Amino acid sequence: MENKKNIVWLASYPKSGNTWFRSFISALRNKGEVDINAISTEGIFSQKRGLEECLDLDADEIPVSKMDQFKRISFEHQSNTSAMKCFVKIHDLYSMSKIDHQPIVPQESTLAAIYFVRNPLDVTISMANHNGQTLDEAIAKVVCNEHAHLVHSEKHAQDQFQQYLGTWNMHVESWKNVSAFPVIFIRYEDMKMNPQDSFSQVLKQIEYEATEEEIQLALEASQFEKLKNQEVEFGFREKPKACKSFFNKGEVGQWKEHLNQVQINKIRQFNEPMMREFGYWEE
Amino acid sequence: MYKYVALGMQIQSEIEIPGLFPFDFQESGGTVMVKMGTVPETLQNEILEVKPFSFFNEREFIYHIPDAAKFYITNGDKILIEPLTDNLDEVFFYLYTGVLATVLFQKNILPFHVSGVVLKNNTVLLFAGHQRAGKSSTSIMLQNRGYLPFTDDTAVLQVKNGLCYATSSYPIIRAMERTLEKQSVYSDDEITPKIKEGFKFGINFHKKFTPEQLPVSGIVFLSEDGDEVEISPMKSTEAIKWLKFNIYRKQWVNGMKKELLEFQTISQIAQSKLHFFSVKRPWESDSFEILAQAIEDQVIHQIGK
Repeated sequence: MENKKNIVWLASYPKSGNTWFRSFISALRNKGEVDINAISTEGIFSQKRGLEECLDLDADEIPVSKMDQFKRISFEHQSNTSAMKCFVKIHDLYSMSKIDHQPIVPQESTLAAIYFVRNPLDVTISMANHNGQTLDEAIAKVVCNEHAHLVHSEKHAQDQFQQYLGTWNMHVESWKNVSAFPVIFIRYEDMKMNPQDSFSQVLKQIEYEATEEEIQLALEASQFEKLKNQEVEFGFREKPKACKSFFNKGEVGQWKEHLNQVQINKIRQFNEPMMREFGYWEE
Repeated sequence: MYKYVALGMQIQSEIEIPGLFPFDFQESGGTVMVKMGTVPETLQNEILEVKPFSFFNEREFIYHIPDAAKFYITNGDKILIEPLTDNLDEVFFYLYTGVLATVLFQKNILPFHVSGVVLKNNTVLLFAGHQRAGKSSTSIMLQNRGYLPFTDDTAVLQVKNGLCYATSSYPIIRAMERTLEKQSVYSDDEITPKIKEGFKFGINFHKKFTPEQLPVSGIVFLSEDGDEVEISPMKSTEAIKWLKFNIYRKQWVNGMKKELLEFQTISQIAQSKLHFFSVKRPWESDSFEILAQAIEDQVIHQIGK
């Protein structure tokens, strides 16, 4: 049986607008309503629960040698049995599996990927808040760390699989090098500056039909302040324990106030090629 | 022939199944027969649901774990096993965790996703929750405090004359390495890696296993939330939602046409003489010892005397 290409990967380094876009899609599908604790997109690549219900297995009991294969099988099934596009969040660096040497995602089920890219100088500030780290720790342990991971130990029971990130530069570059399916890049700064245009453009490229009015309604419902207010009132189940608030500030250019020159230099040193590529070098 | 009991079912097998509890019985209708052989390619009757590793209808189920095993389960009384690996421990692992639950569904019995311990008054306290909620860890920390294990991961709950009774599954507790580091009840030779290259270990508790039904005095629904352990009584109307969520393999309910059974089973349990509790614990892994003490102080001392 030929696989249906229904999956649209919502890919990004963490803290780059991914949850905002998922909330937008959720609002678009629900006539301008969004509940951050019931975002109606089709899951998260690293989440164990979806795989467990699909394969009828306990994710912590899958042999390591079969882990990546079983993840792909699970998402292939999701794509084949869906009547519509499946938007799936992914923070993993795009790579070949170290276990079975196949691509980490099922390419045959992939329609496209949307990659959200954000200035690593601002990512660092959001990351520090997200992880409960100092700025120096976020720089050394994540944005400039070739071995950076989300979810550190595979031996502990956590709701997500370990995800390899690498540096910000490695992450962006890995998705830029994908040739098996289209990858649409969208800058967080453009999403903030001109949401109607940038979100409309992305939808057009993946052939998702929506009127300008529907897009406007969904954008209003998924405004940063509204999502933040929901978190304050009801909490956000995707928020890590160490993080005080998931929706922190979301502003563009915070780094100018918060980072010192040493910190800026280090981030630039590790991430130069993609910073140049996406227009963050000259700022 | 080898004879066992698991989840209240009499099981007769032509091969030895080391994880099940040996139990002699007079053969009667409903005994589950386990045989080795070639699993058919398809079902005899119409397929109602297809999943990556299984396809099934109300009475037949084919389960195919790549490079591990195939199973054909029919009419709630036959299991045909076709190993695809020389590692029979891996084959049996899928038998314990998925296949036995399938047999129960076919017998019109819904298993629940619970672990539990036996209290001093010979009743059972159960811990319900999703994978990784801490069911097994809570049970092991209470065993450190002197309670006996009852079941791990699954149990059958049945209501008779307004009282809820539980039947345990099989004498293996599956636990993560970090939990084993804190247990003081089992010796190293009772602990084995559960599945090759997997992250969980198995603790064998054959000597402490209770195959008989025991009355249930309470069900604790576990969740991770907040900064401190928080225990509160739960009304039975609220428990209905949680019981539904904690049916083991609840994703099969529709495909096997068990919606009515689900409604009846949950309603009966919710209306039985049983205490329900909500227990929230901080995410940190080292919260289980504190949690066990809080459960002993605030739950067991109330219901288990």
